[in-house]
Amino acid sequence: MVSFTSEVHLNPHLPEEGTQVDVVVTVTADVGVPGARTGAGPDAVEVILLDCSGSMGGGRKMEEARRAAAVAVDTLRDGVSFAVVQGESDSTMVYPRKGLAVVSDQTRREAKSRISRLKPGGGTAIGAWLLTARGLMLTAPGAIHHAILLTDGQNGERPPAFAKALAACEGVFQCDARGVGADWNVDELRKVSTALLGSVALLRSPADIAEDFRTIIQTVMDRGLSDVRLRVWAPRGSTVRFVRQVSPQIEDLTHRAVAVSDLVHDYPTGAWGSEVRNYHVCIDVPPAPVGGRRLAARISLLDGEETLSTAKAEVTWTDDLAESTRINPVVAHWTGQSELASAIQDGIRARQAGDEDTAATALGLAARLAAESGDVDTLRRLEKVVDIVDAPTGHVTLRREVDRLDEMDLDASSTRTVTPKLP
Amino acid sequence: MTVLCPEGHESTAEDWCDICGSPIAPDLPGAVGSPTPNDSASGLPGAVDGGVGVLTQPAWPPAGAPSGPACPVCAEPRSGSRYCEACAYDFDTGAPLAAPTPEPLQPAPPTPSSSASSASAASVSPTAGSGGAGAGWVAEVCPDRAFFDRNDDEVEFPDPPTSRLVVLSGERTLIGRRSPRRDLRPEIDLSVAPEDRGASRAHAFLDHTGDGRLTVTDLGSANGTWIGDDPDPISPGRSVPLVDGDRLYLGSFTRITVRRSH
Repeated sequence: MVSFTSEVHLNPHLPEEGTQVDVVVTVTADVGVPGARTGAGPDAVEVILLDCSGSMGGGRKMEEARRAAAVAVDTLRDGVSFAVVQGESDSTMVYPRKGLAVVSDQTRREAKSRISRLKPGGGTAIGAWLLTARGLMLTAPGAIHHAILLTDGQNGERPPAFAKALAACEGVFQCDARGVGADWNVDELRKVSTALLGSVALLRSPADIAEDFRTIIQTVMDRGLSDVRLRVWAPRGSTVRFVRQVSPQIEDLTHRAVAVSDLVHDYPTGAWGSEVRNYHVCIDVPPAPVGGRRLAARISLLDGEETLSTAKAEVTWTDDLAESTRINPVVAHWTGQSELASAIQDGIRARQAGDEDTAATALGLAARLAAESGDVDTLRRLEKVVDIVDAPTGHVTLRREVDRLDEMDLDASSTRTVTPKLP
Repeated sequence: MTVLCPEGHESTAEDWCDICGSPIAPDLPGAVGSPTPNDSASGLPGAVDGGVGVLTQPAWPPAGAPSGPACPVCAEPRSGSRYCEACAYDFDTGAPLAAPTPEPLQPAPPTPSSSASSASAASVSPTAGSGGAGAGWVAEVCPDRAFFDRNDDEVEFPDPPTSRLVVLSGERTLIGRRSPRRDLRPEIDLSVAPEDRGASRAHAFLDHTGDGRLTVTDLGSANGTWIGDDPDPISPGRSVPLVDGDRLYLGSFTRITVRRSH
């Protein structure tokens, strides 16, 4: 039994002539137990993209990647379609030789046997690997489409080719991207996870890959709805400033709008399991006179044409300053989390460019925002890159010696958010 | 099956007009354009029926509002000044910040606005106001050495003295220092490094109405607000008109220069 509920957070009081409405919608989804469904639930397709470039031969990376791929195959549910792809300067099918296989004891065994023989050699062409996954996904329309991408190095493709591949894959499948070691590029993998509605993370040690793969596959297997859209209605004369997923990680969806009518736009949210997500929608609406009221937004989630839940943002105009300047703590929290992600990324960019003042200012702001939101994980990561003198005022000093892995971890984790601690 | 909304649109939704968002259902009082003095959703402790009927006069203060050291509106402890630092409640008169008294500054509206000029400022809403939507303002915030030297505050002048530009969107901009505890998020946030601790949490408002005028109102800040070379700070609670290029001085070192964003 699928059930979605939405909860609205906003300050409904606008000042006289005020236009800006900030709404956070908390969506709680219960999709029941996937796999136990009867009838025509969406099937799932999982493509495992393993970097087998020459650099993977270093350390225990190839060995652990093979082990992780085997764990991923074992975690797949019977009946799901899957493929394992070897990524080099191009991509080669590992299992099956062509198309997709259906998970069973026999295909698991055959796949793991092929995986165990994978050897490193060649270059890194992430766009080409993704395009191979895309071709496989398109053979199974209507399913939940997901890929795992593992790499340890920087993409060897020219940026336009990479961008073109990402654009082609957008909307076709979702992808979680993982980097192992310290030689990959956080920005590159973040481009993948952002375009393909997934996550990005650093795996410090090759030994971490297998457990991470198991978690990712388990999450995908628990998803019950393949393609849910966020629908935003706003009144005539209004402008949508942004639509942003703010949890579990920040994804700006603004430019992904698909116009349904003049006043209605749809935004992709990918597949859903039983989970909670938050969306921050910012709209300018035409002001009404003081005392007037208006519906500023109707925010729904849709599966096909079926509406799963609807939230309404009602606003009223007031000349009472105390009301119109009051800030909704939930909206404030998620705004702060977005600022935190930007501050971390700005700070790291500045540090890498040698601009220490800007880096200290940005990472200081990050420390303050992380402290205010009680984001202890981010504070812990920040402390490996800066010395936090006084978090409440954002006073930090840059560390002289920073482990590159720590900086990459901070960068890659920056878009992951924490839920507000509210009384 | 459609219903007619108060603005005359045919709406398929029966609660709020699906064209303009005006309330339709009978339990949603206060159509756009027909103001109601009492807002049932205000959630204010002790909010009472206005009964006043005068639109510009909200039901305020709540009857029987407690008088004590804390602000009866937002519970912020009183700092000693006449106005609440968090919400600008006036402890002396029991009124919220007086509505700015408009003083005619530039009788002629700005030249017919080109919407292109406002489009360049991303955060300026094209729907803001009705008459001169192109008349936007920006504020340049930067540390000022000469002002700092006059002040003799026991702080360091920021190094480097970074400046930033804030596009004034909506129609009111709060100058102050961010305080999540007090639910205060000023658009011009002087708690951003270099933090100016000489500025009050809720220091002043900039009001920029659709007709292109700009005024500043000090909210009873601890250390005051100066305009240009005037030796005296402006009076708290009174809105003072500003013109293009005016400089505001506040806190220990902050200078805010306002400019039209044409």
